[in-house]
Amino acid sequence: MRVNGGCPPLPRPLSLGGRGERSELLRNIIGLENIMAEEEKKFERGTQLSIFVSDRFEDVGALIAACLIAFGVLLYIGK
Amino acid sequence: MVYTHRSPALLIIGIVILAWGWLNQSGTADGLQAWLHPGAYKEQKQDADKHQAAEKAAADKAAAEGKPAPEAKAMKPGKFDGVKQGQANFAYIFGGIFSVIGLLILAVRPKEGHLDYYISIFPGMAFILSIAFVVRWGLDPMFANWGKAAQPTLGWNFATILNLNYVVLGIVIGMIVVNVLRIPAWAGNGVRTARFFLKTGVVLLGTLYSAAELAQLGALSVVMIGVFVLGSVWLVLLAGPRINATNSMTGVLSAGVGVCGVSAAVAASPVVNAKAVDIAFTLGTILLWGVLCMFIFPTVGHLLDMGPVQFGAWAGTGILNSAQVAGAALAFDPNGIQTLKVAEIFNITRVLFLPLIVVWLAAWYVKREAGAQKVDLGKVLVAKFPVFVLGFIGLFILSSMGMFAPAGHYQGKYFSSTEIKEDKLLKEKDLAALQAALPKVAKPEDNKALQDLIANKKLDTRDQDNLLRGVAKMEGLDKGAKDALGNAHKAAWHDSKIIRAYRDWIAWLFAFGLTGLGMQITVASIKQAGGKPLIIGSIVGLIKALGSLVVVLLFVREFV
Repeated sequence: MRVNGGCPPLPRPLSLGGRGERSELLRNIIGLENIMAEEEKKFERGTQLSIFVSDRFEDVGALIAACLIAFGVLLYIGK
Repeated sequence: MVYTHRSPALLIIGIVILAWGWLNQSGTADGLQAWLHPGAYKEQKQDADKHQAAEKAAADKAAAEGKPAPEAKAMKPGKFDGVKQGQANFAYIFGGIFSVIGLLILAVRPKEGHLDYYISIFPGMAFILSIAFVVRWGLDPMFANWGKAAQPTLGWNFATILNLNYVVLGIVIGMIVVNVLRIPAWAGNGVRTARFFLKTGVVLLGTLYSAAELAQLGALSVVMIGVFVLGSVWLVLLAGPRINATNSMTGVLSAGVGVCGVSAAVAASPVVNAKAVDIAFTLGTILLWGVLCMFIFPTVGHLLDMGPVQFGAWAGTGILNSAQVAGAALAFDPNGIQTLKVAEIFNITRVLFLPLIVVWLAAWYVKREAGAQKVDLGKVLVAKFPVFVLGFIGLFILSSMGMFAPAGHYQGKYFSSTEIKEDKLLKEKDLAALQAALPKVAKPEDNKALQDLIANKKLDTRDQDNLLRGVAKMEGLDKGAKDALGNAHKAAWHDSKIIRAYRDWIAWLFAFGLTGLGMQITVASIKQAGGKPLIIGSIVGLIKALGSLVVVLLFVREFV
């Protein structure tokens, strides 16, 4: 899944000191951005493709939802 | 981690959906709706004109008699009003929910926790649902109209044949969104609900099938279709791993190629944990192959001088997708119903194999994913079997037992002689037309069926209906008799309201799920998948088409 956005780019400091110091700082910023982007990709809950913690949970959820719809419609409309 | 993005997007989507509801209810969108639903609009307008004329006549009569004008009666809402009211209700419910939650998101700073997680799902769901609305309420009827309009010029309905319905359109629009516009960050979490809704739709699909329908079909069609459906699935499952196709891709393709094309592929996709790109490739293969078959089959049929029954059996077995089965049958025999009828019987038979295939694929996938080492299939099944399949089977069994609609129904239509209303019995004019047609019906069983119809003024059995549907297409029969047979058929077949409601639910769940899945198909993932499904699908499709042709030529002439 491709999700645009994620964390906003970090603001660049106006002055970054000397040449060597600047490139190290830039590397750090880029590294930090990468780490944050990686973190954003991982879901602390659910999986990449699901909001549920596992496929089994998703299956059971779908089963319950479908049964609720099936019997709800049966009660509402009748046979 | 805080999941909810404080964006006004959900509130804006909610307001737009609410506005659509109001436009429908107030009649402001009538012009657009009349363009999208010309049939329903025309029908309602005719009814309104009739109603107005009756009112005027009653008023004139009262005036002539010197009585006060009778009170004007309100007209019953027609199909067109039903479409608008349905959309308005839907829009008010979902627009209202989205607006309230959208306001909540803007007003309250989200804090890490359960509430934040569940709230973060709504903007993405609203995003998908708004696209699904456009697809189901706009694009689907629009393409259907264009298909019908172009039919006289093209000679075929391109929207039906190319399956340009909400299933395919949902995926395509989802793909366009992700590849051209990209999914906004606030919608990311909601997009992950797509598979859940697809699974819910698959479970509910069990209500549409009935095992009792199999009993109505001929033994030959069941055996022949069974062999080809199961054989095709088996061939794909055998070929897939040999050319290093993934298990999920192989599983979806086997259902699509084996059973009935698009709907089977969609139903099987969550069973084998299919990625969105697996479904897209399978649908592409089935549609491409199906369209090719639709043009090639009738030509081959005429070259081999096949009869209508033979061709119907071949098309119903060999062509992968249901829409193209009907297209090929009509292309072969545009005026007769026999070819179409046989093709549809064979087509229905293979659809009824879907529950069996779903269970087979679930077991196959679990075993394959467990690895090459020897596994205890029982243990693996308990641990990994997709539980929602049990729901599908459960509802299928309940449906077969007649829990939701009469047990013999097929996708909500059922035959019942006892439920024919008094005003639907054949009129004197119909009976006279049928009486006049009686000497022209030479076959004794057809003649007997027609005599029974005249005596009872209605159809008594499904066999009688089947025989008389053939008679209705007989050459030399006058229009009055054909109309009378058509009326008798219509009166005996009933729509199950509950099954119609289930179909509507399933359509929405699929539209939502497939639009969301389409949003997971990037150009990069398509490149990664390569052309393997097309190779396997084409090989197995060809074997199926040639194999069924041989069987039909050898056996069908004698036995059907």
